[in-house]
Amino acid sequence: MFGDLTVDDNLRLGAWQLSGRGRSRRKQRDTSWVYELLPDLVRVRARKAGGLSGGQQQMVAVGRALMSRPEVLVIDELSLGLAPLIVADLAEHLTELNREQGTAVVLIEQNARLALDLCSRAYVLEAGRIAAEGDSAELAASPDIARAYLGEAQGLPSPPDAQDDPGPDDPGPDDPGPDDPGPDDPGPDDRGSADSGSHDRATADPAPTPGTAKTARGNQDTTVQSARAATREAK
Amino acid sequence: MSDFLVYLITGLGTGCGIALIGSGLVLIHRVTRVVNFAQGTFAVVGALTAISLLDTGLPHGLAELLGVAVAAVVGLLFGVIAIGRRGTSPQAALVVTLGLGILAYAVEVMLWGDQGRSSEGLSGAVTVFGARIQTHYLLIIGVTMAVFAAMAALFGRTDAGKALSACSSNPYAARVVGISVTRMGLIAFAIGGALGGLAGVLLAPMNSVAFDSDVALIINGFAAAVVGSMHHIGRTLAGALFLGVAEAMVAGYGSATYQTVVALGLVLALMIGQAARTHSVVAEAG
Repeated sequence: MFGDLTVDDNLRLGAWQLSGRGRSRRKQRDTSWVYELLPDLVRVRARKAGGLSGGQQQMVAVGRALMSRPEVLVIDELSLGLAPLIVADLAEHLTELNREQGTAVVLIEQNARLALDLCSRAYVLEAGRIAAEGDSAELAASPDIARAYLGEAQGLPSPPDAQDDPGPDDPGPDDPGPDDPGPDDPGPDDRGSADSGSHDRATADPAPTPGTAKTARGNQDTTVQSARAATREAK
Repeated sequence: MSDFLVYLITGLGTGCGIALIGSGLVLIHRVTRVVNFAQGTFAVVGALTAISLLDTGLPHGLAELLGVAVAAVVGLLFGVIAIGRRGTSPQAALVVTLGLGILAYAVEVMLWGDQGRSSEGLSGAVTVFGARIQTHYLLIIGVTMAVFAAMAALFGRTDAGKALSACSSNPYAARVVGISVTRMGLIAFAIGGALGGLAGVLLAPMNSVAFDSDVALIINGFAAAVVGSMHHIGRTLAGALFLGVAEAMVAGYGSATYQTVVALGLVLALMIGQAARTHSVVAEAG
């Protein structure tokens, strides 16, 4: 996310790597289809991205990634630091994107309910290993998974409108948001990832699997946390 | 009244030269976060090259243009040395530019000697409201305004300009979308070199240029860049014009001995004011 630039400029820069000329270049730089997909951005298209709310910034990051016409969109921690309603909204846009544009989405998420609810295929990572994998609905129905990640409730209850996300509420416009590492943050080098990129943390993923992975990134503490939150929610 | 007008116009002319140096500093700092201490060197190289070319009989215009081009190439070269190696920290690059500037002294003395040289500018003068103003000052002001308009268009309208801004806004995100931050940094150095060279060739007829003229230029340019917080090109221009006019007024009504002192004192006060404001904002946020 480029805080100093307008939302529109942010989106256009997403297509920086596409090397068209003349008419095809104009088509590549055309942002209207992203606005159709993420209509919330239309209102703020001329505003500087740095002044937007956390959820809007996340949408800008997703939209910018889409401008590079990725085959696979990798999203790390969709729900981190966002208000539940905004997460639900983003999730809906992602489902739409997957359905209408055929873009595969790999979601890395510690909110187990959200992840299992959203995607068609899921992988449960524990301490860096895949502990379980399979169809999301099946995983959600499995008693082991339900006990560990979704609380003691039988199977997966129908999701409430607003997810009870353990994360803090919307960080507000002044917060640069989780996707904005400071200017001095060296970070991993993503120069090689040509066809994808999202959230500033996303990398291209050669895996063609359309669907979603759920992982705690090898950190069991996080998994436990999200499991606890899920337990609270089920009670 | 006519005195005032003369001081005002000459001050604006000098201020434009300062603005070109300062905006080069800001541009390079925005994209690379390097404070380029060799910025004054670009002006000296540009000016001395143009003067030498004029001596060989090249016509005005072409010689100056070549001087600017040589300065741009030197800028690019300095950029390659300062930031070309991946992972060079801005602080290390800053010291590299300082070293290159000193090394450039030796080269300049070898090539052009250690005496100040001057070129012939636009001759003649015009009379405005009873004040005789050298035409060359008007040329400086006109060219500088055109250059700043071009820069505004570059950053406001073109993809390349947006990409340069993106590097300064968030280098990490810039890499993610596939913008080569190093290449953008080198472009910034080349443009910075051209801006410095332009300042040099424009100011050469007004003050003689020697190898160590860069010190006065960089001090003024840096002061203007600080007014623009090392980030805003428009505010840098405003700061430079203010500085130029203030120096001309002090020299005109007071004594030329104090012109730099008074001007820099003003900038120092501005810097302290800015630092105090930034501090209070940080304190509130914390």
